[in-house]
Amino acid sequence: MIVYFQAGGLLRDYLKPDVDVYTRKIEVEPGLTVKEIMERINLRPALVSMTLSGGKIVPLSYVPRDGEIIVLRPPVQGG
Amino acid sequence: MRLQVNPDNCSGCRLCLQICAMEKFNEVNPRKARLRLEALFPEPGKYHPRVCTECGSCREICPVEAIGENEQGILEVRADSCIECGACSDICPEGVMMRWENDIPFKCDFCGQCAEVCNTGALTRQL
Amino acid sequence: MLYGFGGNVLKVNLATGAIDIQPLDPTFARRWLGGRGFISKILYDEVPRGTGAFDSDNLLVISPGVLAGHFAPGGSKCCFGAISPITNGHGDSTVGGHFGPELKFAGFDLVIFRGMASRPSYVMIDDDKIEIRDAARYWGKGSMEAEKMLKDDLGGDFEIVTIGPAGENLITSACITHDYGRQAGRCGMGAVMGSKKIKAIAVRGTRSLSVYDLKRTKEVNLAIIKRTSKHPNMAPWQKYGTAMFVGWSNNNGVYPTRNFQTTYMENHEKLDGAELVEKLLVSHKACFGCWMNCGKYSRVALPDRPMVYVEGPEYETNALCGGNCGFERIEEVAYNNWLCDSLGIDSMSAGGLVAFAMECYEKGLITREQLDGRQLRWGNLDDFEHFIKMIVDRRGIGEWFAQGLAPAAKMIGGGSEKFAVQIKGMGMSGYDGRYAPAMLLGYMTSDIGAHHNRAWTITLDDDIGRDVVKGKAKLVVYLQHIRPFFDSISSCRLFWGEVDVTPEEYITAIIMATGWSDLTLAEAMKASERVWNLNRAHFLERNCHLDKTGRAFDYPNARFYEEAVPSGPGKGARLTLAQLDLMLDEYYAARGWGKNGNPSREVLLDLGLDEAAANLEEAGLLGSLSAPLPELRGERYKPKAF
Repeated sequence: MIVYFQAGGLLRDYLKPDVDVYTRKIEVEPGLTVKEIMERINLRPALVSMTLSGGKIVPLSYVPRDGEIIVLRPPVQGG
Repeated sequence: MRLQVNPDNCSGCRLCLQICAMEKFNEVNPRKARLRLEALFPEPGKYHPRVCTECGSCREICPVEAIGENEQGILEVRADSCIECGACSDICPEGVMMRWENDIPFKCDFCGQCAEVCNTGALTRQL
Repeated sequence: MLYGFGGNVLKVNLATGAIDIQPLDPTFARRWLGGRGFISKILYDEVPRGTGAFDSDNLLVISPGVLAGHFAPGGSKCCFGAISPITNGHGDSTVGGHFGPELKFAGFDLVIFRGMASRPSYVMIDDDKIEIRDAARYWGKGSMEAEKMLKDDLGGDFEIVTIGPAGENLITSACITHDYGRQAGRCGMGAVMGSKKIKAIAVRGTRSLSVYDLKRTKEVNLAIIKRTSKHPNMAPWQKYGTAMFVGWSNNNGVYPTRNFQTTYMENHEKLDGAELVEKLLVSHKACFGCWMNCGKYSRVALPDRPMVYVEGPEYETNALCGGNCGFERIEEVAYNNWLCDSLGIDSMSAGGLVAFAMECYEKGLITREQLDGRQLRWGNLDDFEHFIKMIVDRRGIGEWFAQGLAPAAKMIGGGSEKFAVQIKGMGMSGYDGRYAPAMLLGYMTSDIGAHHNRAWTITLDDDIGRDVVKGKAKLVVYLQHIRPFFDSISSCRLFWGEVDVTPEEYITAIIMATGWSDLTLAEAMKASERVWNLNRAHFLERNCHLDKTGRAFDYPNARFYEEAVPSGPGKGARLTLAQLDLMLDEYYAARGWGKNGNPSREVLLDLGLDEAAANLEEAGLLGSLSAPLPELRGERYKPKAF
């Protein structure tokens, strides 16, 4: 199945977006958690402050459905 | 076209005021906007953008019939007939018949720039 | 013609009532850019060296920078500066909202207050009509209450800054409040304002800002708005603001917990941004011209407490008035936030002060008798409220804390200075540096003490390695140039940090506003470095009377090099004094300073700070280089490829 990861900022250098400047298309087998998918593409979870789906915060243990867009947030740069 | 106001979405950023003055006067001066923002703080802690609703109060009160519909069917002040009495400005229920230094009043012409720039959905175009 | 600026400098002598308006010098404007830059130069030149923060010769300087009021990303900021009662060096603090733009619309880029008023006063700036008015009726009122009263009296279209009782009582951690919950929080600017007996400043500006290229300004910023709206960070940022980082901070072992004893709070889930939005949110609240609206306006109703409205709690307040004082529920933190805001005490510094007192109480260094028979328990709302009022009223041992963390530790004794968490007197921001060495170095070398806004580095700590010490200093130097640059131009750095507006785009915005067509990022970074070195020279000239080295002021408390983190993801992390020394050595070398932490003649001359070089030489405070001056100080971080 296909999952889309989106990120901005520093994270883009790791995510390597390919669909547009923010989005990477990832092909995985169903049942993997967000964290497992991150590890699959060598993205260290420490670099991600939170993960969201449809504007709602989801845990790293969340299992995305086919075609779902997951937004990965880098940590704040400090106020 | 009209403007739809959703006050609950407004964050009080005043981008709408900024862009309006830039569009209509070529100036950076939010006070010259054709809409205004009410900030209700500290309680209840809400913002309320006020825009022209085309209610027609201004046309009714104008003693010299200087306010009428333009080609798009939108009310406008005709500068050549206006006597600058300010009655329209005083009666406007939304407080958006604007005057600058007691000059000829001006109002929104629904160009839609404010809705264009609004990022929160507080102002949207209503066709 | 000087495009982009308000064009005028307002000087008010509060002692004599003299008011003077002069045009802004274009050469000065280009060299120092505004905001923090203007303030640094004026404080350095005009405040006599022996002057204390509360002496009448101290100045209170207010400056919105070049982008304030413009149609540009985050052009909302206003900088307040004075000799800080906390550090006794250059102090500045920036507030968002609408005050800076309003000053620009009134035609002012700089407002300089000199002397002290003889009675409580407020200053009204209504375009070029300036009045010093009696404030007897507002004195003693809470910050937000006074703002509301002034708006009712003057008109809702005035933008107002106020101080609360903390500022009136010269509490060194007092802040300046604006727009019902935004603060120029740090460096004790509210106390300096209080010492001048200025309760409030009210501004109304009706003029148009001159813009060099309005047409392009409009096109470019509209395109930026459109682009950033689609940025994946935008929607969550608009929804949760900075409070969403509580979880991240804990999971990364940097969340200050119970006075920085550890860096992970069990049960932190109830403090997170999602809780804030779900339970307390009334409105999203934005600064002038900002479409990111990180402000979260909240309503809190706790049993046995009045229902209160507060902007926040944002992350720093959450960390320092929350976990750092052992609170586990967002409602309680929000109440503490309201309490601090209303009293006019910086919620970050206040959190640090109370947390320190709580640890002292836990260790038996503060007794019940000293607390009017009460206690000071972690996470206890009554105890927090009672003690913060003791501080603001300067009652009993509150008097020690009113002077700041370092003086309080000195009075309490018993080894408490090891855990009075401050550098140069300034309480630490909401990130523990033991498991983030570059962050700690950023705090150690910051011109205003342990505050994060100069260099926030945890992303590079994460990336290079959390336990790596070597090689980070030059990256910290770069951050200390780019981040404070935003405080000079009065723009919010979060568009850069969060949604990828590039530094070059800010430069373009300045060019469109001013017509300085040859301005480059390199020039701006050099201006920022100039400010940094000037502030260092200023600090040394004021503070190095006995010990001639700046280095002596650059160490954190012993907790940060003697104690390992006891729990959480950072468990076991510990830095040694030797590691801190290594970071400082690298840092000073990268800056072109001597090993003693003092700027060298070479770097000062390179930046055109000839006068500072002469002053340091005369005081015997110049550093000497052991290697040639690096041509470029600081290095922009490029993430490692994998």
